Amino acid sequence: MDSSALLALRLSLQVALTATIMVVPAGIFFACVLARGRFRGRDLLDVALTLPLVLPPTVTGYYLVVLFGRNGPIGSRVYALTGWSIMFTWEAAVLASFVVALPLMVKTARAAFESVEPQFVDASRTLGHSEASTFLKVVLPLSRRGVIAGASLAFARALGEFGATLMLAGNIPGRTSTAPLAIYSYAGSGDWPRANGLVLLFTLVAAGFLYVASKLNARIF
Amino acid sequence: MGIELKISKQVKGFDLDAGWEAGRELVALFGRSGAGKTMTLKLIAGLMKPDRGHIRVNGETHFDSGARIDLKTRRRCLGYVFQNHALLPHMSVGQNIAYGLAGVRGDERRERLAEMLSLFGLEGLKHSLPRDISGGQQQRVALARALIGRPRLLMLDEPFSALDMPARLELRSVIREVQSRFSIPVVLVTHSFSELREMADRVIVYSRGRVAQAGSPAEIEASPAGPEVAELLGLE
Repeated sequence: MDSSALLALRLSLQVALTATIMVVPAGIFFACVLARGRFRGRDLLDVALTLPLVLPPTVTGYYLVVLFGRNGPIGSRVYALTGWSIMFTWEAAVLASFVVALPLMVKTARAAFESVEPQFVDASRTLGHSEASTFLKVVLPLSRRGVIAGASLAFARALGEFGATLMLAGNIPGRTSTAPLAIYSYAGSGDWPRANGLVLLFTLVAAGFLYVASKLNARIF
Repeated sequence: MGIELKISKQVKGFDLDAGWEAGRELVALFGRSGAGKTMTLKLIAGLMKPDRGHIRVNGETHFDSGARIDLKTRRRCLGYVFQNHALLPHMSVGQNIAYGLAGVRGDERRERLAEMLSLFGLEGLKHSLPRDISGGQQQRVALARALIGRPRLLMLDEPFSALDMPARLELRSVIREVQSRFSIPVVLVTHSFSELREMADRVIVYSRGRVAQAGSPAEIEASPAGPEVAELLGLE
C-alpha cells in the first residue's frame, strides 16, 4: 500500500469525521424544530432537508457549486471578505458530505424524538421544567439510541460520499481525492494493484466501523 | 384558599363544560371513563388549553380567556401524578424525585430529597431504576416527585387503578397523610365509588363532559341527582 492511497483513506476519515461532528448538532437542532415546532413553512423545511437524500449527489453538488462557487451568492461574499474560496479544498469535501449526510441524521433523530412518550414531556413540564430543559434532560436522553444510529448513518454516508464531493471539491490527489474518488481514478487509469489495495482497506475500515457502532449501540441499553 | 374553575373545551366531538370549586379538602372527580375527568386535570395543569373560562388557584388566576391570561404549566406549581406514574425511565428513584426541584441546588436540594425519601419510605430505593421497583413503590415515587416542589394543589389521575388490594389500602392512608401534612387541595380522578367513599370529602360527578352532581359521598349516595348518577353508583 503506497502513500497516496493511504493519504486518500486518511482524508476520507478526516472528512467524514469532521462532517459528522457538524451533522450531529445541526441534525438534532433541525429534528427538534421539525418534531416540536408548530410554525408555517415546517413542511417546506422538511422537504428542503430531505431533498439531498432523494436527489442524485451530482445534482446536490451542482447546487452547492452554484451557491458556494466564487460567483455564487454565498461564495462571492465569503471571497470578498476573506479572499478564500471553498471550491477544491478539503473543506468543500466536508461541506458536500455534511449536506448529503444531514437528512439521515434529521430523519432518524426526529423519529426518535417523536417516539418519546408525550406523558414524560407533560410530567417534566408539570415539574417546573422549561421546553429547553425538558428537551435536554428527558427527550434527548430517551432518544439517545436514535441519535447514535443517526450519527452512525451520517458517518457511513459521509465516508462513501462521491458525487457531490467530485462536483464541489474536485479530485485532486493529496488534497481533495478521498478514498472513493481515488479508487475511481485508479480503476479509470487501469492501476489495478492500487485500486485493489485501497478497496480492500476501505472495506476493512467500513466493516470495523459497523462492528464498533453495533457494539456501542448494544451497550447503551 | 383552594381551586375554582369554570371551563369549556371542545375536542373531536367531545364537549367539556364544567365548573366547580374546592378548598383544602380531598375532592374526587368521579364518572365513567371518557366523561372528561382526566381532561379536566390536564386543563388545570395547563397541558391543554380551555376554549373559554377561568381557573384560579389560591386566588391566583392561572387561566382566564376573557383577560387573556394563560400561565405556563411550569409556572402553575401544581403536583400531577399521572395514571401510569410517568416516572422517567432513565433516572433513578432519587433523580426522579429531585427532578421536581427545578432551580433548587446544593444543600437544600439534598435535604429536601432526603426528607421526601424518608416521608415516603423510599430511602433504600434511592439508586434503583423505576422498572426495578413495584407498582406501589412507583406510585410513592410519583407522589414524592409531585410534592417535593411544594405545590399549591395535588392532582392524582386514577391512582388506584394499577395497584393490588394491599397497595391500595396503603395508598389511601398515604394520600390522607399527604393531605393533612401539606394542607393543600387534593383532586383525584377515579371511576370507583368504593375507593372515594372511604376518603373523599367531596365528590364531583362527571357525566358526558358535564358536572351531574357535587356533594359529599354520603349525600350523593343518599340522593343521587337523577337516574344517570344512580346508575353510575350502581355500577359498583
